Amino acid sequence: MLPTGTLVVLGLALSHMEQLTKLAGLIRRVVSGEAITTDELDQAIASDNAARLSLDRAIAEARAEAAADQAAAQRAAGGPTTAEG
Amino acid sequence: MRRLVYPLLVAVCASFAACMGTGSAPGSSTVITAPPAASAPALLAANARMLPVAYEIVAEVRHVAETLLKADKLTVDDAENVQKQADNARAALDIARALMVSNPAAADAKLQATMSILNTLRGYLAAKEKG
Repeated sequence: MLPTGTLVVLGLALSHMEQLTKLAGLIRRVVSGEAITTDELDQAIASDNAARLSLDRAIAEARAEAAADQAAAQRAAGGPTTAEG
Repeated sequence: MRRLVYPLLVAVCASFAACMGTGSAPGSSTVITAPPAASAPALLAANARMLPVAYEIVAEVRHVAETLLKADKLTVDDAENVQKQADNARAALDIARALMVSNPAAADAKLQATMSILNTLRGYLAAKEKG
């Protein structure tokens, strides 16, 4: 059984591959001179909006995790558990 | 027999084509029109065709940063920095999109500059992935 963290990274990598496939298809169509619609532009913008939110969430989670680790380390060392100053 | 079957075949083909909304029945003089143009999505102008690609690349950069962050190959500060750079690229693309009609040359220059920034960002993330 793979650890949850590894599964999360694998899931993200697969999702990234899906995104890359979509991007490759779009580039191929642009290069071959196929028509590109405004709907596709809207979809690309929506895709970036979603990616932005997702990265924001991941950053917030990583910050919270780092803060919790730091608090645990301070508790273990017998120091203050909250940032001072 | 043929006199009976042929008109029937034409009628069936015409009704099928009408259901599909495209084409015309072979041998038929009926004109099947396409759905109204208003329902079809508008095509992007030639100079704006790279815009969706650029937006998708910004999304891809954010996606890679998230994957690397979760794999502990990118620090939180680095991920935040990538997010800010991607925001800048996105803002530049929004400006390029707005300029596409009024000032195509400026829009094109903005798009090229943004693609260059995005390439640099992708190179940075690729290095982090290997390192």
